[in-house]
Amino acid sequence: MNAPHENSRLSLVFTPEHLGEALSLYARNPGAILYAGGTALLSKQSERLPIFGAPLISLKRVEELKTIRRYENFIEFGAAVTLGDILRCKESRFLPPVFKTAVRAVGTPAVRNTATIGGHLAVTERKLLLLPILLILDAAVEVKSQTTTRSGEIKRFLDEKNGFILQANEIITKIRIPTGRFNLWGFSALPGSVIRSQDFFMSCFVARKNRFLIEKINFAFNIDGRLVIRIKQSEDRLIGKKFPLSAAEIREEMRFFTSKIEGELIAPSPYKKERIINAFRLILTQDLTKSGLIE
Amino acid sequence: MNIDSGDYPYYVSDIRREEMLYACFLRSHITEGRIQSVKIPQLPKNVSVFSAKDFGKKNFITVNNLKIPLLADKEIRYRGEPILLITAPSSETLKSVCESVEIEYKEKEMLESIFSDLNGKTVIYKTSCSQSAAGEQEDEEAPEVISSFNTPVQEHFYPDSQGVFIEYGPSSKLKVIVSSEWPKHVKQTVMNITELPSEKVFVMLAKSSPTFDGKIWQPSILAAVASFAAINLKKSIKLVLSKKEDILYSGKRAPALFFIDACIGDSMKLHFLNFSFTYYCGAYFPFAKEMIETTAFGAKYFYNARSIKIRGEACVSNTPPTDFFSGISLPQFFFAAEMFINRLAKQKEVSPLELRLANINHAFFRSINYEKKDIFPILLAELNNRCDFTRKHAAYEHMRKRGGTSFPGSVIRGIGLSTAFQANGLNMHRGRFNQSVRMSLTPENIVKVNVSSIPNSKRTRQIWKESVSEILNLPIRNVTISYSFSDETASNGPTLLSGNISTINRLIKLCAEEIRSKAQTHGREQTITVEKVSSDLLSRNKKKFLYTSVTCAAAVAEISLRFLTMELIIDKITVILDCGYINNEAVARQKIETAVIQSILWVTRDESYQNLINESLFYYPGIDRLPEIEIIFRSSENGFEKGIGEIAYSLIPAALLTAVGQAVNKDLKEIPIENEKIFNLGEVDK
Amino acid sequence: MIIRFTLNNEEKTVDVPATKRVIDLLREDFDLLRNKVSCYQGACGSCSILLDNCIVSSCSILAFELKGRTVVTAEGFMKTEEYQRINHIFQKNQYDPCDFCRWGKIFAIHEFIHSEEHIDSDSLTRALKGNQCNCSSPTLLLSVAEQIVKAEKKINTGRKHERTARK
Repeated sequence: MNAPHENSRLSLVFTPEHLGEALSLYARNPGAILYAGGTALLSKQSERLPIFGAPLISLKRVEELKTIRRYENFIEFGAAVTLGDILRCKESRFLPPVFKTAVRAVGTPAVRNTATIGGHLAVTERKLLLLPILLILDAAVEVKSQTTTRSGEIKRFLDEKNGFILQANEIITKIRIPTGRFNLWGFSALPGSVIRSQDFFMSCFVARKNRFLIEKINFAFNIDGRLVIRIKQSEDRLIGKKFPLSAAEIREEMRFFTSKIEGELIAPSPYKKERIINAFRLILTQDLTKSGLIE
Repeated sequence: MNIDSGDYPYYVSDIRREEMLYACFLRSHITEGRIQSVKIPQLPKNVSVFSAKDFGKKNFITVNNLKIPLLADKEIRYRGEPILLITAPSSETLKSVCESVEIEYKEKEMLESIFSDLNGKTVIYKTSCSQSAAGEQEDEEAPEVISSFNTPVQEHFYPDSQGVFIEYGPSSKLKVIVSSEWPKHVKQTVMNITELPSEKVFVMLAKSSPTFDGKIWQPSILAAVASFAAINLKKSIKLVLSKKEDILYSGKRAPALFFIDACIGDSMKLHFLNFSFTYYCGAYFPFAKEMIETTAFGAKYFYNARSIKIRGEACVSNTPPTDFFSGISLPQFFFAAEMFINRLAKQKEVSPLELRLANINHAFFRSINYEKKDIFPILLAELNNRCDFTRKHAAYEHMRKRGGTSFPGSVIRGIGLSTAFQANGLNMHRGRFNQSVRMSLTPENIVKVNVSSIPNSKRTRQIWKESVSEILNLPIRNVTISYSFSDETASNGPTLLSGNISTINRLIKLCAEEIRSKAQTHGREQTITVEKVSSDLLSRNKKKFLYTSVTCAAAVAEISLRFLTMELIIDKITVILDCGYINNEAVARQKIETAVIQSILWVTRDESYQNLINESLFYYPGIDRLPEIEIIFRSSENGFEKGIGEIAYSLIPAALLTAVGQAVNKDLKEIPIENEKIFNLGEVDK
Repeated sequence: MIIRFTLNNEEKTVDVPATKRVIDLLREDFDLLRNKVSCYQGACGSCSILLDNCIVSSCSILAFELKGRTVVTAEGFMKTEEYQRINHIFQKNQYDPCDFCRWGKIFAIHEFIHSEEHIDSDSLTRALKGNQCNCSSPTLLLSVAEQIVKAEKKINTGRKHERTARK
């Protein structure tokens, strides 16, 4: 086992090389901070010498968390795989294009070479760009503690505010992204202009269309990085419908969607609520014959 | 061991010396009030704390006859005012000492915003004037349009922080390494506070990023406190502001409030035009007079009217001191004036282009333009041609009046026009500040050029070298440029309506031409030395600066509001300038492009102090977020250089905000404007 | 903490606090001053270095993460032929970024050169967006970057053909 390293001001830093070691350390240090890419952790630190107030367990050297494997129906990434490595790996050509497009939109190349896919999910204060994408792709995740293993679709690990919930001493270990399920997609991340990122807004959808009929459609929105919206009932209502929708159908769906947003949603402001509603309208008015960036 | 980046000039943040001490300020947490007590704990070895008492009668610097305290004594005038200077062997020790000092305050009750107490303000400079056309009586007409406009603080993005390094040498000699536009003032300040003679204080310019401007006198404050500590502790001192400190507390562009009213006749001619303005200059601002007079100058000369009244004042506010920024106060003035003219055009349902052509003071610009031409009609015609302004403006106005659009998925567009000028030398004959150039040609054909001003880019130095090389017919490698701030060098303090670089360009050419002439007459066996100062560029009667240059410009901003995504997109900015002789078009283009982008940030980003604390301090748009920028130069081989670096700040805000106002069908009056504000304006028909 | 890593092609060992930021480690412990530091938030690109040949913001990497890895800073990259070619194109186009953003831009271009991305203005814009600086023209940067990437990709393709031919 690697000996811990002491920061002269305070916490220990553990650098385990195997998953068992990492889980064991975490079980013995329940207040420890898991350190993957560190981008979210360090962005909160204004000190030159960062102060964490708790031991760090670095996951960067854990072999089992750095694997990339392609299976028949999905690609599996270890949670410590960086977003840059996802784009560079040879398996990337099999990834759903909406996922690759979203990864390319995360931060800058320097950020992507540091941030990990597991860390991206686990950040609790902000809902980052990839969470809605993974949700709509029905991606699955595996989490482990020293004594338990759980896995399933990501949505099962989210609370009512779509924050990722981990139980005591659990670490995200794998993320599985289904391939080949959808034949249409759309993605848009704003701002597109010089106006500040506090207006961040993202919308995305994937769909499977069989001739003219929608067999499945999933869509989600991310507002300000704090709120992820997905209205399952609206998705279900569109199954079996023929695209492009008629004007009456669009009105009907808009009415339903808006009532859900008004009823259930804690939207930050009328402007942001309006943005979600407009983004849904934009999805409805797509003719869904081609995929790409929603414009 | 001396550590630096390996080639001079170096950045202050790169400098390290054995045995040097780090220094920092402990700053006030309250906005206004009094210090009740300061408790300093037992200090570790080699740690010192200086307060106002230690500086005693020297606890100030003098800038333009205004005394500015170095450290707060009893009274706190703004949040972040320095109270103590702490020195320590490491930055970690500094931090822990700062955390252990306890200061008790008695805080004064605060107002909500600096604009909310217009009656209680302390005015530090006032001006008023009025002029009427000869033979005209003052009209008794009521104003047709009355408007007010606000501009907020502005900070430029730059990656490095202000700082100073004082190298303490044998016999108490000080080497002051600082990035400053006013090194002579730095030297004078250090000499005053340390009581050292001139030959013991040597100022060297540190490197700084090219957009590091608007910090005219603050480097002197840093140098003053650091040199005081150096002399007392007999050690070298490095004082570098943290990025947060620099952004929150260093000088900003002063916020302004304008009231403008006017009346216009049937022929689109202005009958009267009244300006009333207030600048909020922070706790200290030594150039209040210059700022007010610059605005008054713009108000007096840019537009024609039968009668023009101007009333302006600068007042202090409980915010960090402001400073001279690009354009001095013309950007604030032109924002208000151009917004007003556009609003007048909208109200009277006339073309903003035609309204300008009818009212810009063409005679004035003709008189100071070396071509003796009416410049603005030429610029506006070309701009109109390139942007198709008249047609687009009419189309968007039609849409606006129709009430926007009634179907989703739509885009509403807007287009805005503005005009402005940037000048150099108009008041040079009154200037107390001068530039100087000393040039020597040795018998070995080496040319040493010693200048009093600091170029903001390597390219400028290269241009100077090329100029000398061409005139004296020598290879560029024979020419060296250095900077001199000795007692013999004229002060290069900020001039009114700046343009230091173009003045230096002119002085260098004069020196080279005189050396060439002397060499031809007397030969080159002896070193020939020539010195020129700004006053050498005055007319014989010393009443006119021969190289007064006024850059006239116009800009169009085109935007679209996309309703489905509810965002503002800046589609294109087009700028046309009458800019005289351009030494290097690539450099000129870069200067204006970056000024355009900074201006866009001023319009679209909330730079209030509270927001700067909360938001990321560092936002500058990445290359993926920039609009298309077209720059059209109307240049001339026969002219001479004019200033171009500041004019975008005067042009872009009004053009952009007017375009947005047209698209949302609302009279907008203040910046910044953000997406949520635009779409909440209530007049947008989805 | 003792850390062993490769720095500019040399094996190095250093004893520093485990959570010291790498930019501070490089500047203070190795006197490598060409990479600057500004925001300490990983946003501006001033502190960009290559870590295992990938661009990263060294203010957002902590010392313990360097163990066994390869770091190239500005000083190391300046010795490469690739840098000489990049610098030549910068000079040819009179493109002169300031010391704060120069290396972020150069390393971003380097990363793009060695990626599989197609060369178009969108992909180049994405590659370069991590550099916040207004010292120089963004239009010129894109143009220069395109020239560099095209030239370098041609060289790399040529070398690949040579290796294949030799086999």
